[in-house]
Amino acid sequence: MERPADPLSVEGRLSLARDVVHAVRTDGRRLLFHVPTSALFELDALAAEVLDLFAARDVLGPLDLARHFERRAAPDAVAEALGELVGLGALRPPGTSAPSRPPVPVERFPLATLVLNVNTGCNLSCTYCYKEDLATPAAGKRMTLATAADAFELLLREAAERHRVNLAFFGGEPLTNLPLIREVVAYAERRAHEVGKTVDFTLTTNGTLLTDEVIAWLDAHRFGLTVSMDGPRELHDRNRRTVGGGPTYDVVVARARRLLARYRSRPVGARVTLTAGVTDVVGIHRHLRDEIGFFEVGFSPVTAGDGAAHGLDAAALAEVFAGMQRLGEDYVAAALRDENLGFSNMHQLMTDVAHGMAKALPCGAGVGMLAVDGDGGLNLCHRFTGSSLPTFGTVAGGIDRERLAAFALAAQERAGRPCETCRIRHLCAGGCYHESYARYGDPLAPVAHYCDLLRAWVDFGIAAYVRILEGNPGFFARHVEPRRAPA
Amino acid sequence: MKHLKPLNDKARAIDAGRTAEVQPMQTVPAGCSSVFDPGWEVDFLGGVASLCQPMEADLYGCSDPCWWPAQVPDTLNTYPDWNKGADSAQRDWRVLGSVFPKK
Repeated sequence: MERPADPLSVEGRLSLARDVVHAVRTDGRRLLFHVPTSALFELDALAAEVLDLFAARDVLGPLDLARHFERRAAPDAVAEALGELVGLGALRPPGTSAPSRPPVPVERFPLATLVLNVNTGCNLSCTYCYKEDLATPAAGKRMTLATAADAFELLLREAAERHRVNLAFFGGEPLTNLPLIREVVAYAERRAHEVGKTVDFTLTTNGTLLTDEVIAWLDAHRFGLTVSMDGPRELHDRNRRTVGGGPTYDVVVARARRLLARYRSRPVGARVTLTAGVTDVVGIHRHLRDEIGFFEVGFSPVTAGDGAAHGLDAAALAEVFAGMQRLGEDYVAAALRDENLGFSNMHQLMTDVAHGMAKALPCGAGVGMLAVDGDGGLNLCHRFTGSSLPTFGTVAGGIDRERLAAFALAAQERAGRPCETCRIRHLCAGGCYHESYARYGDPLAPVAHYCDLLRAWVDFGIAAYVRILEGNPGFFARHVEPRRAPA
Repeated sequence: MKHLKPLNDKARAIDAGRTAEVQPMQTVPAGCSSVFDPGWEVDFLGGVASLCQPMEADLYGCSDPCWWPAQVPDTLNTYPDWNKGADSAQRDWRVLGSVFPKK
């Protein structure tokens, strides 16, 4: 005799895997963010009810479910929904744990980007500057052509399998050592041509030294440019001062306008540092994008240890994230009109959510990217050049693979750290090394002071993504994907 | 999937069965015990000695005490002598014949 269909083909009792499931509600829709993979699913009413039931009662057996859904849902459908949730690991036998994702040993360092700190000197003396080696332009440590050439050869060697490499110029203020930059660009263009690679140049500047002649030269070599500006005059001048203490807004704005009026090769972005008193994200964005004309604007909350006067306290950080969400709402509204608002942080978040980015490491520092200091030492990124963190080899001697691999492995070890159970651990992956280093003296300490805000920001991003997906699904192909595609 | 609709690239990849997320079997808790469960490719030490599916413990090791592989007939009632003269599966496997339903 044939047995009646078992309402639950999955045997035994099950419980909700709270470290796998992140349930998000948005506009009456029910979403499941799958923490281990960053996959995003929409639940139908039945699957949502199953999940709610487990969330409320924790452990349920086949009989509990059969009783709950009796005469309301077909046993086969319940079993099917249950099977799909079990398949994702969203439900599992009580007392068991999710399969762990063992750290991936990093054995190769497929460099794509090398940052050159061409001069530790800067003609500005911004109050919040994190550079431990900052000096005045004349007193700065200047990189030599020999070191820069060694660095580029290292990049060509380590990037053997890549068609494109990126050389970034940083400082101090890199344009205070423009003669070297010109020599390095000539050298790199010649060498890249010889080995059949394309080299891209990027440069971050405070904007003060951008003459028409410099702009034309940068344009001719297709530099990707980022200008550091903090917004309208009263906000910008609060922290961005000359070495002598004078304001810089007028000169920077004048130069930025000339730059934006004549730069053709690439869109130009602005980068804003948010500090105590400089937290008006919406106002700053409006000024830099709508009034000055930058293509996009990105925001970084200041990096500071406790007690620094310019640091953001808890209330100010909350204000920053609230501002990011207000601007994020504008981003969504623009996306629904098929326009890109030029808000870098939000655009990056949309890229990560659309793709389902699941990172083992917070960024490419130390794996795809290294930064070279004036002595040729290799650092995790541009923020660490001149810091007291030991270097990872030299441009002449090569990468200290053993130490760098040990660092990459340690960065993935979350056991015992608060990240282990965090629902955004594969999007944030512990946060910026330098932020942790500056605040806690340890590049691997999680950025605990804004974890809650970051989780709320990601939830906001998931909801925003779903709204754009519903209202203008083509937005991602037209505005988000092109950033990832090779140029 | 029917009750879960994929919304992003990663979810679509999982739905289509394309995902690079490979988990070693020994980290998946399933079945009767962590080591003896059918289908394990290696035990937690990387060995195969006490497993059911592969060679060492196949027919006799598994069929009597714990598991009844499909290739072993009902030795309790219908075919008590099916493996007569084939005491070592490794050596005598040729002697093991097929069985057919009796009228």
